[in-house]
Amino acid sequence: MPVRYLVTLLSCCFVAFCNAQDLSISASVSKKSVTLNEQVQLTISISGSTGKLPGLNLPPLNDFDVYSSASSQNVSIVNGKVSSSYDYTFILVPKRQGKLLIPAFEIDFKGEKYTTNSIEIEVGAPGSSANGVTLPAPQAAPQAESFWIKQELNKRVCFVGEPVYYTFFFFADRGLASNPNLQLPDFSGFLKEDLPPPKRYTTSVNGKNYSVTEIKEAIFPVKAGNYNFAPAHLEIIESNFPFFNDDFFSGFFGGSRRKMLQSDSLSLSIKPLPDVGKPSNYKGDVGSYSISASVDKTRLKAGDALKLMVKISGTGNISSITQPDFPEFVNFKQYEVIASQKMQKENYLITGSKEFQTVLVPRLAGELVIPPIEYSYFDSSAGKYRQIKTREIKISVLPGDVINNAPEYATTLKEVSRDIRHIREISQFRLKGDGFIARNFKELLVIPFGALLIFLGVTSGIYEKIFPKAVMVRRAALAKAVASLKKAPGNPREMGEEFERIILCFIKERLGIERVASVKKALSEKKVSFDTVSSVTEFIRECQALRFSPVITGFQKKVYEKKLVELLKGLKKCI
Amino acid sequence: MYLKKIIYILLFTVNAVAAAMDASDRASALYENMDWKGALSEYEKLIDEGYTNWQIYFNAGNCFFRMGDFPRARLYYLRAERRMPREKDIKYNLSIVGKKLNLREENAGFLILFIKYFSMSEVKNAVVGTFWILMILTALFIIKRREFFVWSGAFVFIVWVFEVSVLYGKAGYEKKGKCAVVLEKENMLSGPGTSYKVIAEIPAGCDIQIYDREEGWVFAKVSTSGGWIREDAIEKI
Repeated sequence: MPVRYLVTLLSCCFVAFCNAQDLSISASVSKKSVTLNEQVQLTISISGSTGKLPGLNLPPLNDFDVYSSASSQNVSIVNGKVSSSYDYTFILVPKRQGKLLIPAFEIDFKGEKYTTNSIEIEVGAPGSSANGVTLPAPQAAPQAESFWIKQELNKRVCFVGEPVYYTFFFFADRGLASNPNLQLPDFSGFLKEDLPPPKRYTTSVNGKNYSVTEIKEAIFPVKAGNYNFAPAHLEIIESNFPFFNDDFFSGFFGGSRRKMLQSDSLSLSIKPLPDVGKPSNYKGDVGSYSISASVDKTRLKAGDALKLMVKISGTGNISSITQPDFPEFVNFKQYEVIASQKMQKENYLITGSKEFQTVLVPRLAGELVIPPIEYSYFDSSAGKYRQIKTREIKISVLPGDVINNAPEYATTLKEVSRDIRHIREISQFRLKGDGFIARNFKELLVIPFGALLIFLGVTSGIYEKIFPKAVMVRRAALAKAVASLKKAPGNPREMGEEFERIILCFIKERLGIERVASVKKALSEKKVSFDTVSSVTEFIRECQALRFSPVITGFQKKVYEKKLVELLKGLKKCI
Repeated sequence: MYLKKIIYILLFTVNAVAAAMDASDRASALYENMDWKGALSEYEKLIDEGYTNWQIYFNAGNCFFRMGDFPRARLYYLRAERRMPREKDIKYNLSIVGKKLNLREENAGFLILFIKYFSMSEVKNAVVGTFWILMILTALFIIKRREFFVWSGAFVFIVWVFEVSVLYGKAGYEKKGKCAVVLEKENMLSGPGTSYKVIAEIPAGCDIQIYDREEGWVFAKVSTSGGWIREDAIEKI
């Protein structure tokens, strides 16, 4: 029973662990000890195994001025599993000295709460000059006031969607008793991006030194028309303790008063985008962009996945870059397109990129092509539309084990009816049965077996035992002699020599002796009759006569042949 | 004299093959022109001349199929299958004609399937080839007296025995097995004569196993039933 509880408990822990792995959140700062003039970069990272992560609302941080700096999103697809991460970057400017706390905050995701850790920042006394920067930009002061503000736009005329940079200036020649309360114009009808951090420097106006604080914002007009922006307001409590006065006590006992500063109003003329030259695939993007496409692999098997990434980068409203039209990938199965973006605000300019990722699965093997992907935007600096496109990407697809989409093709093919296969061409005519081996099957088995037996007999000496050589020679002696005499030459001398050799050879083979020293003696020992011995010796003498006689008359070869054959047959019976 | 004989044989063979190729081309052309009967007569001529290519039987089977004579089409496909057991086109056409004749596909055992997988000539070639290798290895052992030849010879001998078993199994199966096709619907009787009782009806195109013969009748087995059928009603595969 306890084991069962333990298993249940472990299962619960495992499930909780698995769920916990779905999302993670963390907060970090660039430095934990700063002076009052300095700024801290706070980065909050959210990552999880999902394509859609929850958004982030930063809780109020009363001890800091908070500016959104940048955000980036990364989505990765590995083996079909989607994971993504968001990085939010904020610029925090401390408002007071001491130990300031960035509290822990939480986000809700699928009913679960995820919490960051709290971070303590130690803020020291400010440095001698704000940011230590002195800009020698003499300006004409509107009046010889200690505090004054102004606001500017970087352009008076723009197109819809074109970025316009707004700047607020605050000039002060002395310190403030408390934090000022700033009210910028209402940018309703515009998309807005903060451009942190506030820029601080000193400058001289009409021979008077001022500390200047600049706050910048990028705005993107949504509609055409003429817009007037209300003046900016800054409520301050001024101090009589000037920045650049060494008399400490005059300021300390001088007192303070509340004051409302107001800037001039601004106007902006927004032109609509021209209709002339508008591409058919234009979706409203304004800026200056470039496009590129890449894949994570160019060689794969059919049925395997590859990742196609299309990246649009440049300057403009990065967040509102629209997805380019992907062509119809006939030879691929295409999955959902997931977008991610990276935005930078360096030098108070908005730049960045937006990436569109999709997964493609080749349906066929071979050399496949991902066609160019076109994208259109309005180039506000040139005042005209531009069409850009990616380069063509070639993919080498090897035959795969299983093509994921094979069943889809199978379902599209409907069998209407069945018919027999067509007649076949006859490549090689074959006569009489099944080929040489099959036709001569038995013979081809007997031949090697017989050959082996003979070989075995010869090598092992069995043949010699069955058929002794002497016996075989004796048996073959007559046949050999007859064959030899038929081949004998017709010349009487040569014939006589040959016949003598034949008869001696025959006697030698029949008797099984090495050589015949004396015919008479050899035959007598075998008890051959006297008449036969006499006939043989007589014939040998005739042969010798033929060989050595100077004159030969009445010679007939056939007579001698017949005589020899009869003589040999007679001898065979005796020996 | 011998050279003359060889030249005559070569000329005769070349002429015969050329004539066979012409006949085959003619048959193909007739088939393409949907003259099934004409094509069939050309293929049958080739068979009569002694040509044994499986394609001839396959194509003849196609002609019968087109003419609507499904039992004979099946007979010729089975003849083609006997010569080339692994040909997919033959199996496909057999399945088509089997459906036309409403014949059930039987589930043959592994042993039967294995025996059927090779043609007789293939098995014979294998037996002869292996036997020759065995003889050569034995001779080499006698000359060299090396142990290697003993072990390799033993292995080849086992292979050869297996091949001989397959050969005998196949010969026995073909002798007793699917050796004939009923060309038309036929009655199966309890004895070799019309006076005997009809015990079953055999559908056209069905293949039978013959076990005995008696005066124009054969004792055949179809599936699990056995009985007597007229010899004229069947044709050997």
